[in-house]
Amino acid sequence: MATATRNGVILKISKRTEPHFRETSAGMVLVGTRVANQPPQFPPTVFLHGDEQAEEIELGPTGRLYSYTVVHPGKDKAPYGLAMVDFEPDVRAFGRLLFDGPPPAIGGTLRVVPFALPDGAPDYAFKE
Amino acid sequence: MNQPLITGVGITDFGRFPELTEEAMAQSAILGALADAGIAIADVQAFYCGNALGASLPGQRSLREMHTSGGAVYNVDNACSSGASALNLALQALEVGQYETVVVFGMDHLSSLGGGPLQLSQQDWNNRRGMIMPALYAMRAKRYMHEHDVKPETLADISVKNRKHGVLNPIAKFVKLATREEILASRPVAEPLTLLQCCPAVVDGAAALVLSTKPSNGTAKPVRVLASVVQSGLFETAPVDMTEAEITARTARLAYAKAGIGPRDLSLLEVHDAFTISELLYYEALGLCDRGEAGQLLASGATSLGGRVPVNPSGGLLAKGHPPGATGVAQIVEVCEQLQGRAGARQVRGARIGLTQVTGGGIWGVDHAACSIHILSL
Repeated sequence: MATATRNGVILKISKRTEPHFRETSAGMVLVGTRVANQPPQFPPTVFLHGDEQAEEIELGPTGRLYSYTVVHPGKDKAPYGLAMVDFEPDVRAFGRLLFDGPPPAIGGTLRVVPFALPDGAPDYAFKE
Repeated sequence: MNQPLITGVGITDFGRFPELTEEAMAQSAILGALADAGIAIADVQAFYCGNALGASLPGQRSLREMHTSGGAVYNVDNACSSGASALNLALQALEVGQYETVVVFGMDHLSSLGGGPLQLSQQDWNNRRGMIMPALYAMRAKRYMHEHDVKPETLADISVKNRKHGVLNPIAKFVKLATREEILASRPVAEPLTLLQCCPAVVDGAAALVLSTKPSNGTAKPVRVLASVVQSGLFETAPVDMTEAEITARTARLAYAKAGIGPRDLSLLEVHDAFTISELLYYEALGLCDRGEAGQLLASGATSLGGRVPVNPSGGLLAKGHPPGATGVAQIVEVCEQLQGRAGARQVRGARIGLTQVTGGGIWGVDHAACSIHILSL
């Protein structure tokens, strides 16, 4: 990205392209970020300004189910689960909830698992 | 500082009118408001248009065949809070003397969009992963029910109540009465919310107000705006309490302080009941009851017509429908008519002070992008 200086301020926009999940020896984790004095966040920051640096933070491989729903999209489309899941250190992530039988209980432990977006792009989901 | 008054109100029927356009509906509401205020369009110096889903320049498109004198037209898009945000801006201009008489209007024509849930941007992180607006509220409902041992029947009873109100409202063309059992048995949308717990997805409508700092020529007593507050959502990345309607509580605190009143002074409210759970959360955020007690407040009958503080006497979004650009202005029309004793079969007896609350949209990390609260009195 082009860099310019205006009135002593470095005007630069950098785009992070690192993936938002990875495999570890303990299992799949989400990758959030923390920028300067801001709180950690997931999804991770994409654009950085000036000399900002993003510290990567691994979330998981397990989190706690805060809430969920099952969406019924209507004719000819299968229902699907969505969940809000809380991770250390103090980050909530949203994503698909996968389950075979009855849905998990609020407060239960979920794992981060591989999934794919509708366009086929590799992604994550949550499963008990 | 000048004291603006609402001197005229106008509203169209809310229903499905595929043969009409949003421009035609806006014109009808504006003509109604001008007649109610006893003025001509030439007396209006500026127009504030709230619109969420139409094409660009909705205000000018609506006004061009009304032959205005070329004064400013401000188009405001703040999702479902568009019309109320437009009112907030108009009040500021009147108070500082920029204008003496303006029209605020809002409209949307959802019949033009085909139907189904509102289309959300697929650039948004959550939307790409299957989020739809009912799902966000469904997750709030699941958590609320978990924490406060609330049953699905309580959610359904919000829809029962507002439908009973709505059938008394002659502009609510889409509403039908439904029993608790019918509501719970309707098609699931996002568990625990069923179809009849979501505001209808395709309803068209428009509403308009005349505001002026000059003496009123109107047919009804003018209405004062005791408070007009707009706030934006906070970026939340931490595990926050989704059962707390934070932006509404924050906006309400500011509005009550500005009006110099508290929730016990209210005679009625019009709130953003896009889903049944919303109204329960807003009872608590607006201070009508303590946290976790919304179900008991509803069951007591206090928020029904005839109760201590009726909520959504118009039928609200659940019964009347929700053309987003119109909703915030339509709430103001309802409260004005209630305060003026013009609400017919749904009249709240002795109405003195009314509050409107409308939220707007959601984007990743921000549960609502906007919230507008107005407090009105004669």
